[in-house]
Amino acid sequence: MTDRWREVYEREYPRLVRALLAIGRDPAAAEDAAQEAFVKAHRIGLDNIEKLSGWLLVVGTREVFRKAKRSRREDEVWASLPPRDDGFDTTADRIDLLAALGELPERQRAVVVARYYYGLSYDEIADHFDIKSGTVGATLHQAIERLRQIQLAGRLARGAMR
Amino acid sequence: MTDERRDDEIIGRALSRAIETIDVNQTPYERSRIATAPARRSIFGVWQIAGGIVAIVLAIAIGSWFTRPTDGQPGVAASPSASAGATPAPTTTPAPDATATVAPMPDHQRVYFARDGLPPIGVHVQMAQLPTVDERVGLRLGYLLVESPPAGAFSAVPGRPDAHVFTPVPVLGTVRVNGDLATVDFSVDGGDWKLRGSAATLALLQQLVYTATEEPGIRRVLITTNGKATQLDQLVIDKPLSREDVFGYGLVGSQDSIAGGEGNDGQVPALTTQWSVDSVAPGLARFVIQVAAAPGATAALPLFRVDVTANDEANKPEGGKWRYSVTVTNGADQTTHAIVDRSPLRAVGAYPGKGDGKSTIYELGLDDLRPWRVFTLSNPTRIVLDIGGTPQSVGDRIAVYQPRPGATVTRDLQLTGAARAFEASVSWRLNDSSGREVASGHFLASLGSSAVWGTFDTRITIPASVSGNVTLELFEASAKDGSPQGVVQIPLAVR
Repeated sequence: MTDRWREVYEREYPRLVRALLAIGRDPAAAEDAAQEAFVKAHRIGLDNIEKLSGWLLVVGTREVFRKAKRSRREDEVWASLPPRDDGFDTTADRIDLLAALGELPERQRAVVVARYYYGLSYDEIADHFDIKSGTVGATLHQAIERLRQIQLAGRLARGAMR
Repeated sequence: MTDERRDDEIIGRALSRAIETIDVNQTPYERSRIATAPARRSIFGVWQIAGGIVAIVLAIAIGSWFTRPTDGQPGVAASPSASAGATPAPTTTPAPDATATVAPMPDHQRVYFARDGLPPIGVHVQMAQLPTVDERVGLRLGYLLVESPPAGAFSAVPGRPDAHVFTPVPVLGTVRVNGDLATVDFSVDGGDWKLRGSAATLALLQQLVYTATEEPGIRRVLITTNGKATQLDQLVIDKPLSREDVFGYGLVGSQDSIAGGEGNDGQVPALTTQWSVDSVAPGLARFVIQVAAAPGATAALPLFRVDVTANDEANKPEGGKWRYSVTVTNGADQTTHAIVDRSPLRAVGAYPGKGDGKSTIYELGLDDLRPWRVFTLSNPTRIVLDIGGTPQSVGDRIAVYQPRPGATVTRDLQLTGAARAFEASVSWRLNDSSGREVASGHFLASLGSSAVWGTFDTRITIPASVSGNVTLELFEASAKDGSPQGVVQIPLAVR
């Protein structure tokens, strides 16, 4: 039993924390929510949960939003991300995209991460996030369009400052 | 794939890569909360050991919010409502729902949390649909062990997972249902629930009893621990408990019918309704029926009757545990049925035209049989049904809505509430912290000792010599010897 949990944890945890950090922008809250999601899963039992990774994402997301509501801290987390070796522009783009994600409404953030980072299907997203399955595509498109605008604005602003 | 979709995919993938490169602090498994939790079975441990007879499939929709009722959006609707005029509280006005074709049901995916000095509050939890009664009762209790309380409420369940330190936790063992009785056994290390004090004990019992009896048809629950009688602090629980045994009120609501009104000479005025929960006083559900009047005129008060019965949930699943019927003779409203789902009010319906075709019967579904009262107001003409209130402030003949227990008040003190006392006279006295009487007086309610209550809204003055912690007592002075009857005590701090 313990080994199964270790395996599940080691496979799912890093991805879950990253997703929750992208959605909620607060590292401590993301970790807390991820741990909380695992505790809930642990109590309910591995055999009783279908499609565990989606389940963890949804429960974790709910925790992140609940905590965010409790303490509306919108720290500029992304400004402190350590730059990587993959070149200034790429890093800047990456940070822009993540920052842009943070500008979206909570629900859109969660849906975008569920689709593109977790690879959930439209139907699964509709189930998880209380969206009519017909409108998942439109919601995603809206969110991405907004991301594109925010990111473009960021790039232009950076260009202007050079 | 269209160009647009392809562009979206490109951004999406870029975002995915960006997320993947976020540095995260990876807590190793050994230090994770699940590894550091003491070894224990899952909440459904015994069932699993029993060979997985019960395959509980928690739908992946567990976290989905689609059936979650939100505050201020009371579901579908009662009739379009006019203003309640001078009703001393805001009421919620639900909007009509043209799309409802099937009578909506109360949401039974629900667990209960405790509130300080108040009856418990139900909260929606997305859970799997299970085939048997035993499983559904068990699943609700399972969720009660892991869910977090909403704002303004707390959980008395020990060892909840959001606590920073894991303490020994109760584990749900077996659930057996027989008729209206559920027998629930928990495994607890050494049989000790680690609860101290009567407040925590009552809170836990409220949560367990309300949650277990949320299943339609279940009215009583026997809670055993390790197969034996449960002991909570000083209290030994060796018999089944109903919601009324634990709700915290000093008395149970009456099941006697109450009739009132003057009659309106065969006119059939339009009726409109409003309801509110927790707004006049905490723990109070108010239902107001307003009688339409011609412009500039005062509507006569129609004859009405209130009947309270235990609801047969098998035959009337759209109601609650208890059914309040308010029959208004010569009054017309439209057929509606609305789910409210705010503790304790679950559903409100209007059914016109029963019997002689000129009456309207309103039906309210309630969670429990807390004490209730009915009174009338004029200008505009209204029939008001008040169910519950702050337990400490509600007695058999006096119910105080303001001030609330524990409030800090000024010397010019406003008292509001309802009473049915001899000759409408309500007495009050103020005792200091040593129990010595420091002030007293009396005032009149709008009506005396009839079945229909009177209301009061008055001011009393606290002498300048009094300050600090005091107890306000309201009571009826006995017609025979002046002794206090039906005393309601409200602790206050005078500033």
